[in-house]
Amino acid sequence: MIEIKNLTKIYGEAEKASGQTVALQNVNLSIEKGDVFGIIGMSGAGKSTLLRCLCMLETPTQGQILLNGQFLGALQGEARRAAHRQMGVVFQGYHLLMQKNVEQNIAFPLTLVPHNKADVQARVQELLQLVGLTDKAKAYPSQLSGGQKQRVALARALATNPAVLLCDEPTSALDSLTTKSVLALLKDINQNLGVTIVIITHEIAVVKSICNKVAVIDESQFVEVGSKKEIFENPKSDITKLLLGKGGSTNE
Amino acid sequence: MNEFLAKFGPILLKGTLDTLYMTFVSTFFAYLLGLPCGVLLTTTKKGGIHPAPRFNAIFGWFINIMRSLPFLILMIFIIPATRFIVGKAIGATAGIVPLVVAAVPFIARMVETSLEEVDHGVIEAARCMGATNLQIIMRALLVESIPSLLRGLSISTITILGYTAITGTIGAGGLGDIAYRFGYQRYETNVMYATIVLLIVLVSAIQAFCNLLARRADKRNR
Ligand SMILES: Nc1ncnc2c1ncn2[C@@H]1O[C@H](COP(=O)(O)OP(=O)(O)OP(=O)(O)O)[C@@H](O)[C@H]1O
Ligand SMILES: [Mg+2]
Repeated sequence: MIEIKNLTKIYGEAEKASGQTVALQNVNLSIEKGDVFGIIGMSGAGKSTLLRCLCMLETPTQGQILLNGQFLGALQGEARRAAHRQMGVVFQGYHLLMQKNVEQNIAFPLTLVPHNKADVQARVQELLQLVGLTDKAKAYPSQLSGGQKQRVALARALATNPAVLLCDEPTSALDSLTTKSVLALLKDINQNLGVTIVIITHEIAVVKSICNKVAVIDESQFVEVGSKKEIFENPKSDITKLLLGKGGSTNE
Repeated sequence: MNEFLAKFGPILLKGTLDTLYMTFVSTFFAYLLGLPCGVLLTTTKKGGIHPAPRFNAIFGWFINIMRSLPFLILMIFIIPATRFIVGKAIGATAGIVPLVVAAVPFIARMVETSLEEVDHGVIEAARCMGATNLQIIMRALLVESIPSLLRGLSISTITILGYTAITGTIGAGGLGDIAYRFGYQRYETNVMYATIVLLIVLVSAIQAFCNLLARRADKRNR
């Protein structure tokens, strides 16, 4: 479904005083249909950069990303927008339209293409039910709690029936109970709608509760990739052991 | 008081109507041109939704040069253009041309400032949902900045209202012209005070109205 090949992302220009930051270095990854793929790492490891490359907000310095066999870097114009509609993105900061209500926010991606008003309305109702926000349809984002905004962002990302859902730290701003309900919802979306999910996180609990595969990222590189079982039972790198709370050498 | 009104009332009324006419018509046309200019300034910037740094630099320069010209000089400078567009160089309608020319670059910068306030993340989100550049501008950038644009509208309108006092001197009429003719040239200070009171009322009304609109439109804090 998604192939990442030798992906390198370097920010900044060598000539500039601010210098360059290598955010991703020669990264390879393969995500299969139906996966709930966790990408875990410490702050600054390059997780968000990876997600931004996946959703074509950043241009890779080197390497390729393929979505269903298509090179994302080669896409232009309408083909690019079509690829965007294949990927729902939930950002860390939600990024909802503050001047539009919940319904209008969820309808937004549907109204970007020629559409039928009644179909959009029906789809919005369906999504509101899915995320449990039917009673908040007319509320504005400023009137919602963090968890509710997260649900709106989720509904909006799912509106176009994307094949993949990309989530950047979907639960980092939520309390543990709300985290549980959002994760349950993601699991439900994966199992019942068959949506492939990529979750960026720094919390091992998130991986533990819903992922089937994990990649551990540290200092711009993957140090470990495998099934959740493998990695939880037999962590190889120090950083993974640290994340799992199994000690490891902390004297780096 | 009654005597004063009987004598000067009609003049003051005509002056008020002329001022309002010049202000609102100029504001309308200045936004018609200034709003797209502001959008262009914002979107062609480095990191904007359609970066074109060289165009942006040249266009920004041009806007700055237009803004640097003192209004009085600009007004005299474009008299031939005014005559060409409205057929004459004096009167309230003729006053509108220099007002628009002066206000467009000002409004372009005001709009630019409003659009810059929009959270970049929202624009990225729209892009990720498959929006075209035009859709991002119309459906995200402009919509998200409506309250700020409305606050800018009050500043622009009041600035233009201030400029109408100067167009008055080339025979465009209006309250500024009355204040100048009666207060400065004829020492009828009462007439001057009356125009000042009227101007204060107009400015306050415009400000209050735009603030109300902005508050009504803003969905962020309710
Ligand atoms: N636009 C940018 N310009 C320059 N450097 C950047 C930019 N964005 C990220 N970086 C740098 O790239 C590195 C990786 O950043 P990234 O945001 O991917 O980290 P992250 O793993 O998502 O961290 P966090 O968990 O804190 O969100 C960091 O060193 C960061 O400073
Ligand atoms: Mg991040």
